Amino acid sequence: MGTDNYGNPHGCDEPTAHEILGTALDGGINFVDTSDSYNEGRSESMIGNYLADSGRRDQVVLATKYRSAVGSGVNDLGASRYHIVRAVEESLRRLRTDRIDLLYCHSWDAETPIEETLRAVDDLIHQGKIVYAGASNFPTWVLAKGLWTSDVRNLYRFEAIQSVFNILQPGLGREMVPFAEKHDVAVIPYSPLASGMLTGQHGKSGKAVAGSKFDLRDDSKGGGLKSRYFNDATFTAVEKFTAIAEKHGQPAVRLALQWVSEFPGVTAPIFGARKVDHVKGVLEAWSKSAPDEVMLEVRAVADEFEAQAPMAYPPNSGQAFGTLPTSSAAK
Amino acid sequence: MEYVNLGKTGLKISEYCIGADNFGGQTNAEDSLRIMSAAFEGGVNFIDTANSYTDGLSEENVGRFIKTRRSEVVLATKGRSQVGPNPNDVGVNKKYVMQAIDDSLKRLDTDYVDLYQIHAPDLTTPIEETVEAYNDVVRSGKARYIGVSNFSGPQLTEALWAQDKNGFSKFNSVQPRYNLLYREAERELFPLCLEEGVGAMVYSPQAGGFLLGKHRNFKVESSSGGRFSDDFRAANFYKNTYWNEATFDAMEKFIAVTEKYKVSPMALALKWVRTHPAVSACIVGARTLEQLQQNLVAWEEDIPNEAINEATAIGDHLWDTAPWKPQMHSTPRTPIIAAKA
Repeated sequence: MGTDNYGNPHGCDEPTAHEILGTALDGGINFVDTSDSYNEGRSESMIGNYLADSGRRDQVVLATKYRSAVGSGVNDLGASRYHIVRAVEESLRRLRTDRIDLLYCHSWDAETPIEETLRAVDDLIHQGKIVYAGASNFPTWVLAKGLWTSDVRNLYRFEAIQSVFNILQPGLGREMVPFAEKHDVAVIPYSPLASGMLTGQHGKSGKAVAGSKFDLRDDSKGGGLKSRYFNDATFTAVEKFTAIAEKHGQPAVRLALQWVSEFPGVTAPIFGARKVDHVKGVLEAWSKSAPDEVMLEVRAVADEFEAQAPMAYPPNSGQAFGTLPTSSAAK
Repeated sequence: MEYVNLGKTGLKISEYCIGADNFGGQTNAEDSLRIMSAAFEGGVNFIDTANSYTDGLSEENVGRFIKTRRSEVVLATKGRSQVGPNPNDVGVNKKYVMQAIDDSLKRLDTDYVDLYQIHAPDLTTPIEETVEAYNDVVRSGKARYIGVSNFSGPQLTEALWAQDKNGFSKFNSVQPRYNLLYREAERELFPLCLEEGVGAMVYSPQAGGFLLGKHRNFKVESSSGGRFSDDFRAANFYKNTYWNEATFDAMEKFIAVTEKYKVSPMALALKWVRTHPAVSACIVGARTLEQLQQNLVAWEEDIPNEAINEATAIGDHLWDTAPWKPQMHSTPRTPIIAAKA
């Protein structure tokens, strides 16, 4: 359950957030994802209030994040020991709990040695304030460096990687997903529906539908949804994708979620909601799977779109340098 | 000629590295020797070959050249490619590595190489086994330094991890394909190189001649003898990567920049590659003595920073207008204000 809408002026207010959480938990969801930076802490506060007041804290695996700017001071962001300790204390206060089940570094902090970050997190795990550590939006090599550091320094390691992954943003599948699978790190994809783009709601107009995320959020301030998705090749892929959904009478939401989930190594896609109906729709879509022949068509559209990326290629298998005999060790 | 350290090693190399993959093939033995001599007269001290180039003839030609000047040469070769019909004639398992280094030394007619590299990843061999073999190659005195080629950033990180954990010699260099129209290395590999002190020796700086304006007509098949012709082993890669409208458009813009600043396309292509801080050396091939001489002249040509920045913008535009792109985690290249120290 993604919660970056809670307390956002274009998202939902506290009573709605509580209703969404209640519906999600009643539907069997036990995994809630937030961040100290979502809407100046309001997302964490609303979740904390709901869990404390409903007595459902121990029904959920509660994940939050540190690293983004939460103030204007030079140490109000980053992955330094100084900031992590303070960020965790403040998250715990807002979440009204004494432990965070999964704590992510929200993105790579190139200015802080990864060993400093991992040692700070390791200490907080030993103090009982954190249960597991994770990383988000990391380059694959930085996650690898993190696992290396944990291994040789005997520190708790990153157990999860959370990054954007959907049919229209397929980059994660090229090297991160296989890497994470190899090292048993859980892949938690966010934005599996491409912020609603994959429902086909925007048509080919190049104009965002009124009331949608694309319409409400200022594209110039970080969201970047229009610059990311509004181009001809993407509209064409969406059109083909929604045509498959229509032809087979399958909800587009189901096909989009299933495409992401079927990658070996993907553990739990995140979807957000700002209306109770959104959660109900996803729970309904999620309750059944589309048959293989439908997914084959979806994968064909996705592969065709993926091939249009420039100047980037999957990790070299070296096959051009001589074909290796297949063995049990080979994948 | 500028000499720089290879990555964070103490080894001094010329930034210009001779790519030897034509020697004994498209370039005959006599011309190969002439090319290497002319390059060394120009101050080059660095040669890169591989056991698979021209079925071993490249190494033999290089061997003949270095015979009288071994101590002044920084000699690099590689192993991993298919060299025979048997299942262990390819890859980087221990058996292959130990055999391949000895075979290379025999062809090169020397008892050590300065840099021994994995030509490409071998996903069927655990990296722990390979790094142990490469450590033994160093310990036994058959190589001074070790490196990799065609590894992705995460693959190289895994290798360094295994070396660190076991106290083995670490990889000091990596060879990626890198040019204005193919900047994949900036995404994961170069940030890793800068962090870990691994020197990048980049190949294909001119995109197989594409940046020189050899192919100006989109969709018209190229004549034979170059990287795009069907008799070249990696021709498919060249076509898949560069043979599209957006890339042709970028190439034309690049040529226009060279005309505006009155510099040669070759000089700007080479200079553009060298100004990335992760790049230690640039591997430049030559099929003829004339090409080598042109390369060396281009190498010394004065290039204004504005031309480099405008070239960068052309590559950025190609990236920005793509339908989708992998997440970029760091600023790819910042405009150059002063030349690299």
